[in-house]
Amino acid sequence: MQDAVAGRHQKISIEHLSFNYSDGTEGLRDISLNIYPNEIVALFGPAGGGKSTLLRVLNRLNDLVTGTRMTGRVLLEGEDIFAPGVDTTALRRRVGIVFAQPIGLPMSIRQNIEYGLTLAGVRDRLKLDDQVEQSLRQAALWDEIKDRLDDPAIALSGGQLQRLCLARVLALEPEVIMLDEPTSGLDPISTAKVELSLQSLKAQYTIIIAPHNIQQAARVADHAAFFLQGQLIEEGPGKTLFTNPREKKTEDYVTGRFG
Amino acid sequence: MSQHSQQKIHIGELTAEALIRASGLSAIAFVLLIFAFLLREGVPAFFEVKPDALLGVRWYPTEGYFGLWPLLLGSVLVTAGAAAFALPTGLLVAVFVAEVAPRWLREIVKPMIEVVAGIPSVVLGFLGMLALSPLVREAFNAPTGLTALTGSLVLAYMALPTLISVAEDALDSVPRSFRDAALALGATKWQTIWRVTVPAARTGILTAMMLGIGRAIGETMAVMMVTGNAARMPLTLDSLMRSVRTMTATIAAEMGEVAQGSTHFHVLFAIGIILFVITVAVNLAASLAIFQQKRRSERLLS
Amino acid sequence: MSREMVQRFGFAFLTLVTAAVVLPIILVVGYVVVQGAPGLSWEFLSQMPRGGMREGGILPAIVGTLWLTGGTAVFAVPLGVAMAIYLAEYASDNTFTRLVRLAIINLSGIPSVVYGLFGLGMFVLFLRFGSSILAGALTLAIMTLPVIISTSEEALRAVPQAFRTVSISLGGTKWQTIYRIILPQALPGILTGIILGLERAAGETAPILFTVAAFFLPRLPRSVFDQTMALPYHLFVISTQVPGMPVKIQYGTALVLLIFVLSMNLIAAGLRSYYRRRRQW
Repeated sequence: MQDAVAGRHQKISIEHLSFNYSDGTEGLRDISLNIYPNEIVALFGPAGGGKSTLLRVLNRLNDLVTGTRMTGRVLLEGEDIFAPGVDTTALRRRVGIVFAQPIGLPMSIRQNIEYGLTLAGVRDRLKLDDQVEQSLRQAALWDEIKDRLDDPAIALSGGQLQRLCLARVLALEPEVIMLDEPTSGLDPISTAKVELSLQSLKAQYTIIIAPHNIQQAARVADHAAFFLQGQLIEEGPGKTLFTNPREKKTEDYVTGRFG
Repeated sequence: MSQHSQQKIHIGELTAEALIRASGLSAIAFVLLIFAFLLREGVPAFFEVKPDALLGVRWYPTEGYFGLWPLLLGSVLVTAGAAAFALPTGLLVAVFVAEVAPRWLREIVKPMIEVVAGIPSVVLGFLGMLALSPLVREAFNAPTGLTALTGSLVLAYMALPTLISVAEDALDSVPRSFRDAALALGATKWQTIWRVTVPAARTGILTAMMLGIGRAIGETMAVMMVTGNAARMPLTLDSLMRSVRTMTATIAAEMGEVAQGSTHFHVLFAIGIILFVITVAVNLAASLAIFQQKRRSERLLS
Repeated sequence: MSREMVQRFGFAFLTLVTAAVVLPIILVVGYVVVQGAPGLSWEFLSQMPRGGMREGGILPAIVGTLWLTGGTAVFAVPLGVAMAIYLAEYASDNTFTRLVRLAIINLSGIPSVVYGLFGLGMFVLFLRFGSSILAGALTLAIMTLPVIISTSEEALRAVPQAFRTVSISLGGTKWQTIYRIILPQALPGILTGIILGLERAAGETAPILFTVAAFFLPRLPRSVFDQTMALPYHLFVISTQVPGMPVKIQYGTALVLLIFVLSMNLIAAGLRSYYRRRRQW
């Protein structure tokens, strides 16, 4: 769908999205945000701001939670992802997510990466092997474990496991990759490796990241959005939002007056 | 992914879910079925035998006496005796295992108690008959060792494993902080157990006792083999030393010799209805207690 | 008496009571072993009874118990596991679910002899299966369901929720998640529950009294519509209905039944600890 004002093609368009949990707590309040392809968009802000909630709306993972209510629209390539009859499994293959806690499925490294593909019915051994290698290379993990592909995933270190989770998502050749606090438990070296992968990945994918600290947001973001208590306070280019925010609340958070 | 395989997965998903949900329904269906068939064969008894005959004190089916009181009281006596043995003993052992025993001892005692749970009731009845009842006879100088007392002892043993493990779970789930608080105030471990931990677990312990009694009421083979099977009215305390007959033993012993569709047949099913109602009532009471306990602790912790 | 003294006496008392409860178990099992072992031999296990069952072996009882246990498994395992999957993965917290759970608790409390009456009324008479392995196995299966359901449900719930979330986020459906990840990971626990349930079914007498058990049959059962002898019933019969039964045979039969049942216990416990070590989470 063409952006009438800027004339740019939107990957994801969020229109007046509000989201409430079953006990009444507000997750999101009237969020409107456009996400453009081949960019890294960082959603930042203090805990409880709604960033994780938004990510889980974008691939309808929140469908698993009962009793929630939602108003507004979310469009992926111009199509409403909540329209009746939408195939949610296909949606989740197009919009993948990496969680804060690296979770290795209880199987080998190779099987972890193949898992999504076999769910979709891919059986060709050659194709699977190809995808395994390709995804591991993209996640900057291939050289480290190419000899250990049949070892159980549980043998990997935290940083390797998180990159495995990234490879797992990449194997499905998604359009959008979402990362929810992906390096919160990782050491600086692993963190740097992940951030580097993201830079090379954005050429092929659209990336939405909710970093656990503002420094990471500043490092990786092409475009950033500040969330506070379920509301989108301000958004702007990464280069200027952190150094020269317009809203006072954004400035207070960026300068550390609250956190 | 092809449209075709997508559809196949979708249909498979729906079928699987439908079958699984249907299976959930089957639990309720079975309980209703059991009750229905008991009623089918048992209700005629209430028409074929006059109600005051059923309330009679003589159970002598071959002569047409269908008084249920001896059987009811027989069950009550044996169960009460079993409860008298098992409830205090079970609680004490549960306290020992949960609070007093060192870890290595726990790992030995718990499996041994589980072993008893695994022993079939016919084996316990067999041993009760051959080994326990002579002991009882000699110890009490009684004419026979096949008495209500023997039955109570064997039943107590069968109810103990359930009782102990449920009570132990209840004691285990008392938060550490309770114990720690009492100890910090200067109480000894012994005082803590009896004044803090056990009272805190009292609902779970009560449930354990109800479940144990429920098991005892429903036990068939073991009691049949050791209680002597004399359908008398056990009205005095020395009935403990005489033979009695329980409801369960009656059904098991007489059904084999009964003509299908006869009055005797129907009355045996009627006894089954009584047993069904008693055990359902006990289970409902136990479930209610657990449910209320959950509510209470949810309120406390929220 | 000081508080310390009270405590020491108290602990000693508890130890005594526990010993008084636990020791007889050892004595009892030991007694059966000692009395029954002389009667055990390959002939005992493989021959038919002779001379009014006062001589010979207990083969038909063993075979019958195997038939019944197998039949129970065939009916109880798929249904029980399905019900556990329902409770763990599909059921929401509503009245219907609570009713289902209540029903299962009640099923577990119904006396075994009442199950026998039900089996007689429904399978033997109403459905006209007659006194048969089919009727006995169906009756035992319903009786065994609660054990299988509760251990299986526990095993399913023990699998980390994170696996489900990851599987769904990779485009898996609910059922795919269950049979690709949840079930395989819960399998050891489910298997343990099945073995424990079957162990109980193998040892039960009352449910088979009116549905399948025969006092004596000259040959082994050939189909599910046949009657059969069975170990627990056989023990009952030879200890109460047959005068002049050699004690050796009685204890031998008791020992065989005990070994059958307790070895299943051991296998279940062994499975449990083996898989706990190999778990990948």
